[in-house]
Amino acid sequence: MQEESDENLMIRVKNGDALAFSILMDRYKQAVINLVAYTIGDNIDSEDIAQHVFIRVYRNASNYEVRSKFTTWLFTITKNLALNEIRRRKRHPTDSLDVVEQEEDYTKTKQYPDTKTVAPDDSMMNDEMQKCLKAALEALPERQRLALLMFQEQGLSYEEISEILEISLASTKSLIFRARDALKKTLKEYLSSESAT
Amino acid sequence: MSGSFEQLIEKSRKKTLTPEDQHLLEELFAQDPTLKSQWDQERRLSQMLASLPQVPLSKDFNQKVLQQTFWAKDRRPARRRGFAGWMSALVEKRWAQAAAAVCVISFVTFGAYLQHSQTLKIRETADALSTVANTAVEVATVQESDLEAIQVLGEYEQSSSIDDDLWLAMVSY
Repeated sequence: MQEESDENLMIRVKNGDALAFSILMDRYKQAVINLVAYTIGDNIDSEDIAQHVFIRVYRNASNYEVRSKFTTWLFTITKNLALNEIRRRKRHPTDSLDVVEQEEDYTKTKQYPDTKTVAPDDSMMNDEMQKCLKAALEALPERQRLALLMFQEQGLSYEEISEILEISLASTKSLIFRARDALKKTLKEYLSSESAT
Repeated sequence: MSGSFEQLIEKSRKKTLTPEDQHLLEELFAQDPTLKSQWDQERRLSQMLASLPQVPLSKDFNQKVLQQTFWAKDRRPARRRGFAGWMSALVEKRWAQAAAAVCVISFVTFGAYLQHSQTLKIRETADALSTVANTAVEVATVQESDLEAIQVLGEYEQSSSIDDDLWLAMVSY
């Protein structure tokens, strides 16, 4: 059975269909929370913000026009709320200790493998690499980070990203190119450690 | 050459290269071996980015959102309404019905008050005009009879005290 399109589901949401809204949430909540968390740089409040994204989708359902792609609209809301959070944090900086503790909680979900079955260097290298990658992403300017994450993580096209960020296609490609270039310089050590298959 | 290489890099980020693309890539590597390390770096970075872990989600994520949306007082998402839509929505509200009744009653009462006020004013004006008219008639009547008396008095050379009193009364009238 063919999956119902996002646009059809949104029409049902406009008519008060809670089930259609749940289906949309199931499809996109992971993508939304990933984009939020990696844009703002940590997991604190990322679930709250992701929930607010869908609450806004519900409250502005009457403004959604079927001719435009749902993911463009959804990720525009996500971008706006993520950037709002970044600005809010700049005005009211959080205690750095809290951020560190949250990161520790997050990494606790990974299990360190038994040294007999997996070489310890590989797993530690992966964790180290992950940390460096996240730090490198955080060091990028907001827009470069957003553009790269939407392109790489969400698989959005250049056209969609330019619509979401409200910039030209050329500017979008430039943002992504510069983001990748910066990451390559920062992560040179890891990029040259293995050859790509 | 660089254009083709960049295009292949872009293509590889989104999807697997076709055999033709692979062949073109091998040719480019043969012409310029430095491109191979660039290619490897690009692929490696894409793999690293793809390996970013999924952020944990709570199991009751949907429930929390639904509680603030559909389940919040059984609210439906706001719909774009036209004028007829707004009017029909208002008619359903009790407070709107009560407000409409109060407005109608107030309007009728105010209208009746205005009409009564106007009637009163007309009556007052009519009374005032009547008073003025009566006064004018009386004044004219008095003046007419007084003229005769004054004429008669004028013919007397001497006046008595009674005549003096009469004269004073007529002058002061």
